[in-house]
Amino acid sequence: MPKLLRSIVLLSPLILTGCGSGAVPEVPGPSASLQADSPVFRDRLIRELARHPHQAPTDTFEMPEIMGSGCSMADLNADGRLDLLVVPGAVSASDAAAGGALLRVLLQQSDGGFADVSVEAALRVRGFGMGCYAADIDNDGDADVLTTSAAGTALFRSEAAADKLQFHDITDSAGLTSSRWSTAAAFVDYDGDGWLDLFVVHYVDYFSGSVCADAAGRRDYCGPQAFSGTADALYHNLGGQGQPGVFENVTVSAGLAAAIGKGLGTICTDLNGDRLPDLYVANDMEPNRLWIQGPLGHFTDEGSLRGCAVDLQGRPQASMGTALADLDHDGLEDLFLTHLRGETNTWYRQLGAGVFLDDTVRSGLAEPSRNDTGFGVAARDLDLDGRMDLVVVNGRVMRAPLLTSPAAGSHWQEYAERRRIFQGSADGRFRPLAANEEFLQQSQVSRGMAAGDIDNDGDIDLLTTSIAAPAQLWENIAPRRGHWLTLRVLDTPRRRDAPGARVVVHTGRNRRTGSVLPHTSYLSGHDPRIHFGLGDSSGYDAIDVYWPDEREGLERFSGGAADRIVELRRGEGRRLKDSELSGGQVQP
Amino acid sequence: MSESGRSREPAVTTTSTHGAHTSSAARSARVRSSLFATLFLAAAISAVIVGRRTALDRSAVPAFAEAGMDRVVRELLSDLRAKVEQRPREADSWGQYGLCLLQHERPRESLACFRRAHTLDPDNPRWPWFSAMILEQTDLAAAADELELALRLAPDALHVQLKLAGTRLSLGDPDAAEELLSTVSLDSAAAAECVLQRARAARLRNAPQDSLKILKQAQQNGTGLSAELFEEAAVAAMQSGQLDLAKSLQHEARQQPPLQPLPDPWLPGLRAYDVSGGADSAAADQLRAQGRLAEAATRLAALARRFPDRSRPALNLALALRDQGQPQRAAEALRELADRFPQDPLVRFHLAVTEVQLGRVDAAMAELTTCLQLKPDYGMARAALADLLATAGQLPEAVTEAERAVTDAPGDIWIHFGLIRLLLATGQADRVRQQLELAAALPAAAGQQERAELEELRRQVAAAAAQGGVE
Repeated sequence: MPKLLRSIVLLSPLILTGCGSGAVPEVPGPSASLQADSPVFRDRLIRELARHPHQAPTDTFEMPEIMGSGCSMADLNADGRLDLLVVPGAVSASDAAAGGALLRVLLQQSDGGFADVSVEAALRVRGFGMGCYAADIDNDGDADVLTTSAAGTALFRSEAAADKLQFHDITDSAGLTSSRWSTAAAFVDYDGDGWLDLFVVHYVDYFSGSVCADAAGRRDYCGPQAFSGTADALYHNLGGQGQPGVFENVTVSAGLAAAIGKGLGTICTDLNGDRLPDLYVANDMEPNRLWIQGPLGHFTDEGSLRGCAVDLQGRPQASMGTALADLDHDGLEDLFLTHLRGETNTWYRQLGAGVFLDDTVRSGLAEPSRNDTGFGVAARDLDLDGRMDLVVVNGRVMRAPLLTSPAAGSHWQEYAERRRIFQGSADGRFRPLAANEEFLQQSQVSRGMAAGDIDNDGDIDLLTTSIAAPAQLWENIAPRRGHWLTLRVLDTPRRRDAPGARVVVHTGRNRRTGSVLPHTSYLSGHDPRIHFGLGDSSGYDAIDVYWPDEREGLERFSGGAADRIVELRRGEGRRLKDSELSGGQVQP
Repeated sequence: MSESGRSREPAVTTTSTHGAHTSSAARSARVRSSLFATLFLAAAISAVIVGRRTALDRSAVPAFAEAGMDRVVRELLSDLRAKVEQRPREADSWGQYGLCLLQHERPRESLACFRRAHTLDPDNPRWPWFSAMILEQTDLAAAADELELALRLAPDALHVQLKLAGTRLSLGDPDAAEELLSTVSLDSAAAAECVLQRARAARLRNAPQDSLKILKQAQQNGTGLSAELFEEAAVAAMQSGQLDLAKSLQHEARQQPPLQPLPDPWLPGLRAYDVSGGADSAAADQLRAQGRLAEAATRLAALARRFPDRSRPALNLALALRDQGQPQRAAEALRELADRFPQDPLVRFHLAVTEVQLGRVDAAMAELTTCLQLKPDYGMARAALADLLATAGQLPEAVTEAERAVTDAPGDIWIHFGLIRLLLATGQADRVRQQLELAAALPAAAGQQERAELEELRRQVAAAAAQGGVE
């Protein structure tokens, strides 16, 4: 049985199709009384994660070590349960002899526990580990895996057989041989041919062994200013030419060699409303790029024009993590980027099709972030009150003393910072949560973060990584303040999720917008499903899906009850042309 | 004083032995004695108070964590701290120590110094100005308060006025920023920065048309124009839905000079405290760029002696020697450096280039091979290897290396040119044309030298086609 179908069968008690009928799963309803100081997350203390802490030496001061490594939540064996992937750091001599360090792969079991299948999966990272990303590159219903590292990318094709997880390293045969320091990556069907292409973000042109010191002469990690930038790479999947999973490097012909940068994050989706996927790159201490796709697959950088390259004062910032979400609930998705201490995390509010304004100050997000160095980020409704919240994990990159820093007891403690949760509110502003809980009190050199509903109970859990520490799985235990809806957007003919698909959920007069964008945050991969907190709405009227390979029209799925996971299968909804839409209101 | 008091007591005792006169004298002696005792007590108390105050001043001078600090920095900071201890009532001592702490990333201690300097010298605008420089990293509102104070103390200081306006803008208060900017004369050196800030304030107010008006006005007046202003206006045009205007303004921005920020007249000499070598290194680079090679070499030699654990100063020194026309000496220096830093690909690359200059192709090839083992994505080194392979007649291998060099450094037009030449030499007409198109589309193709090279390559393609060398 194909994996996609198998997953549907296995999930049948919980997953409903877009027709909106069936049983509501057994999940807690809205909480009547919410304690203001209730913790949001608790550490699940996963033994299999604790056994393999991230490896980073303390005496070599190689730059990749301070950039850390990411993680992903993805359903690798198509059993309907999210699994965990955690990127290792340093490659030991014995690992190097074996082809690289093992990516930790933890398969979720039916009882919610995890089985470590890293050795069996044999996903190896060639250099100091950066990110990992799961997607189906050959439309066979299996999740394939890409890893990025300081020594290049590696692509693994899933060859599952008899319920055994197996991957084969196809990097060279896929045409992805490269030793460039790769960081973020995203799978996106940029040319609409039905096959997922690959965009790989590159960081600096790094020279290992470079010595850097702080202003007082103390040895420290080099910063991006010590090296020149590099061009990012776009690889076209040749599946349409009968070679699925073989890629052609089209960087130069697509116009992407026109500018170099020092990229760490990306967002690959249509950002100017013309229904053609665009590529946004978050650069470290250089202007961000917004590569707008024009005709014939040619991209032009319009980041500066569109107000999302630099901050309001015209200064490039040290951009690291990325998120795309409708933070102010106006139907337009906004960009949110994490940055260095002394800068703010930045909210580029979308004013209209593809035009942005740095509106961080008005959102209340500026001052609370000025003292942090933000990396992983997720914009999700954590308490289901219908308003978007933000989670940011932090950790410094320089160890010079701060205006307000406690004395550090160890090498990595000098770089450690606390995580932050910014709670969205009705007035469109965000407030930092000051709850006395472990998630916020723990001080670590945090880097990666993946968000997803690990236990399919309707709220957002987190997987976080920190340098020289074990990854942690955080279960959402916040009191619920409303209803929820989780959408899996399936491009059924291609037997895979549909990265780049945009969804609008209609509830009464409200419209909530979200996109299938697993490959955002920092070096991490979120749950590919879209999660909405619905507040008081116990149901929805309709869901519109804008498929990423269509240039007009949408597919409308009928309404249903909230508090469930719904699969939106392409072709099972009602096709609507642009001319049939009337002011966004759903016509029954 | 106590010593002299004690010495008088025996004399009183002596006079007390003489009758009535003795009692009056004794009274007077008692008065004197009690007066002396009072004075003694007062003196003792004031000595304690003064001593305490001095001790308080000493303990209030911030110490700094020395761990891992460069010896020169440590000594410099210790000297300046000692000066503060010697002259605790002197604001400048505190200020100098604060600046040095600031330069060496000790913001907490630095801020304490500037605050003390302000207490001692409350009319000097520099101290709140320096405090603001530290506070703006973490607390913009507090920084704005310090800037307000500095501006009150120095109402004509344009750099403070602009900084405060920018800070108000960053705090989301465009009206306050506008109020500050409205008083800046457009005849002043601050005109360009002022006009730019006003345009930004308008955009933050969601009034992009005002931004465009500000640009128009600046164009009419011929003052306050800068590349950044055109960029800002382009964004404003986008915001108001005028895509074509936005693109044309962005194009115009590329023709304009970049904004020259108003210098900070209060911040001289911070560079003098730089011991990281960064400032010296930049100065040496500048000298090299100006062709003052001997001076550059002297500076670089000093840097190399100062930082024996770093390869870059000695590498730059060797390159300066090469630039001076001494490739033999440069090669010797580079070889010695390669022995000391065997894992440094940059040293290997430059050694290879120098070996080529000396005609030692085999040695160069060996160095490039080592270099690429250390850094396989080194596009420039791979392109150089491709050149050498082609020279040695190994054309297919050369093409393979050149193709990979383009993959590693796709934005480097000269690496594209190298590949085109090799494709031309191997008669691959289709690919030559395709690569020419790709190279011509790179922004670097607009450069004068690059345009000439492209033309030359096109001419060669045409000539080869005419001769049947390229189909």
